[in-house]
Amino acid sequence: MNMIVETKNVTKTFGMNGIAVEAVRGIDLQVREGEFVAIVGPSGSGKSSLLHLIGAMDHPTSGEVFFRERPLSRMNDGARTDLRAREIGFIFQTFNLLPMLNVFENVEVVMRFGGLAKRERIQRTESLLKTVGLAERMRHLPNRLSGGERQRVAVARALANQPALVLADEPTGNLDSTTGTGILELLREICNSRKQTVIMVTHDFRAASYADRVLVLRDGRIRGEAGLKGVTDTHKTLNQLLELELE
Amino acid sequence: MLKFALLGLLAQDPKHGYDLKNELEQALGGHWEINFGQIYTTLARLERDELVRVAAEDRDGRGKKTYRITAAGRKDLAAWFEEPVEKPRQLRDEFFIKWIVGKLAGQSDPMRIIDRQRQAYLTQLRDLTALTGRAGDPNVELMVEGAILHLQADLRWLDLCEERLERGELEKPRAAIRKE
Repeated sequence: MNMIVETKNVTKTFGMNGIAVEAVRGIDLQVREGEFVAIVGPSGSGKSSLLHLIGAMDHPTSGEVFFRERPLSRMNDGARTDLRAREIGFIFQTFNLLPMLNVFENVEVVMRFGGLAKRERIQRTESLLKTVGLAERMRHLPNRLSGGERQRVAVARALANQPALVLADEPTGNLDSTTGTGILELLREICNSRKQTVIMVTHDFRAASYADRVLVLRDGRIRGEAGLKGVTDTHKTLNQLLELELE
Repeated sequence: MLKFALLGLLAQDPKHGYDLKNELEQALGGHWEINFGQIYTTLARLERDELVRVAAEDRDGRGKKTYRITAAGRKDLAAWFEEPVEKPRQLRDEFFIKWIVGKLAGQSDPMRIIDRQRQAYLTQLRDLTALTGRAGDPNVELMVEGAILHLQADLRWLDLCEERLERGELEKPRAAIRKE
């Protein structure tokens, strides 16, 4: 399998009131195409900073980030913008929808720079909104939607340009657990059926457990790694649980 | 625990062992098949302790026995409801023992123990999360949610183990509470 993202000894130091804060302290990371990776850590562990570096939204203080073997440091601003627009989809905790555009427009607008014909844009938008279960709400403005629905619009938008990589920053942070589960299942689905790569940062182990691989981040370093193998047998799981309870 | 489950069901009215099995399975959302042998062993123990008795007419026959709760059985059940559960959950004890023994034996890498355990917990968490909203019975759902919360705490605890280990804090003895 090819690597889609690789970081080599990457660090990020912020200056705050004259004090240097090391948010990321030397991370070596390799993510394969089609993988769903969760980076889990408490707040202040450096996980959002790391995601910004991977997404070419910020420059590392030292070290290198590679996107499909291309070093980001060698790209000029235009190339980085292009990479973000065409090959990476972003999902944020706070949804970040445009309030004056309706659901359909929020998704369609990001395809306008891709040189796609109007008809194709409409088709793709409708199909994406159907995938996330919002076919009936296309003409609604974001303020008429629940948090879960807004995040589903954001997921559709992130997928609009068929990016190879989807980056999600606490995508369930503002959602109740049932709604959050829906979003996580959607991300899982993106990986399984569309073969897109998902990197998600979260403080929530429950969210992280949807991934193929979980990296534990603390104090700007990767402290542990766990691959989740096998398929869930819900019947068996419940059986074991009841047996323990009634012992 | 089965003891009190059976007493509780018998508190309503007398029942056959077969009814007890069915009703209990139903109360648990119909996901679990309880072993008949387990029910009968428990009933035999309850009968020996005079917490239930077999209805007179069934005593000699080879047919099904009807079980009735006794006054002592009702008292036991009522006392059980009154008492909070004192014993802490023991499901994770083995990890702790592994941790301590690993250190004593000097043969295991504690980081490796943590990594493996984390992997196991995360897999369990994934399996349980897949059950939420799908267990069928609202009470069983509650139990699943409870198990998820416990697992999340277990995972946080692993982080704590790791953090203390890294800082070398596990080597320094501290002032301890001593037995008088």
